Amino acid sequence: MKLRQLIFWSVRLTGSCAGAILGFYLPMSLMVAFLEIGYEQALPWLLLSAVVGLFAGGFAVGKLLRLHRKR
Amino acid sequence: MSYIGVHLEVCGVIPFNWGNTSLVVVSGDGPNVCGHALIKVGFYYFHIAGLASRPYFMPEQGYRRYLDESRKTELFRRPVYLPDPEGAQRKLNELSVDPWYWFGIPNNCVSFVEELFFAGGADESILSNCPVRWR
Repeated sequence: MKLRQLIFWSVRLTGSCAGAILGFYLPMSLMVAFLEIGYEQALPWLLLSAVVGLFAGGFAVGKLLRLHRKR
Repeated sequence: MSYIGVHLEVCGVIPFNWGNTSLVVVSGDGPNVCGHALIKVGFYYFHIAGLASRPYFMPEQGYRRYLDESRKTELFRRPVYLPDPEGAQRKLNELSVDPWYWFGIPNNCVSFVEELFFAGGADESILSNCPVRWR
């Protein structure tokens, strides 16, 4: 694997992780409005949102990197 | 929403029997494979269950109702010796006033139980934050 490819995938992986963290914690800040909601009830939705964030983060970073390369 | 206990009102608080303290771990809901930790003090169980709500407590019948309505099973319980019961009581009063914010890996049900154990002088903690492994 070329160094350039390695850097590309590392940055993309970092974007995925950041997306997953944002996907988990952003909806949580909205759910805080429902004070009495149990965390175990919210957990499946938070995990689902984290998975969406994981893919969206990786995709967005990949797209940005490709745009940057084209310039 | 199933029964999860009631909030402890500090004004009317009486010292609990900290000489009879146990760690109680019950099964988790849905994707929560780590289970849920509670602390039993005398006849009362304390835990956090909300995303941003004050801790809950329940007596023995309430605990049975909680298990029943939430379709949970008790995985294990074990006694924990607290050399400083006054410290634990103070901590419980302090934690009962403000909402407990659940943040996933930090500040979860385990952290709540750990804080009370530490305040009571017990060196009980779990690095993985997964209560099912806290035997």
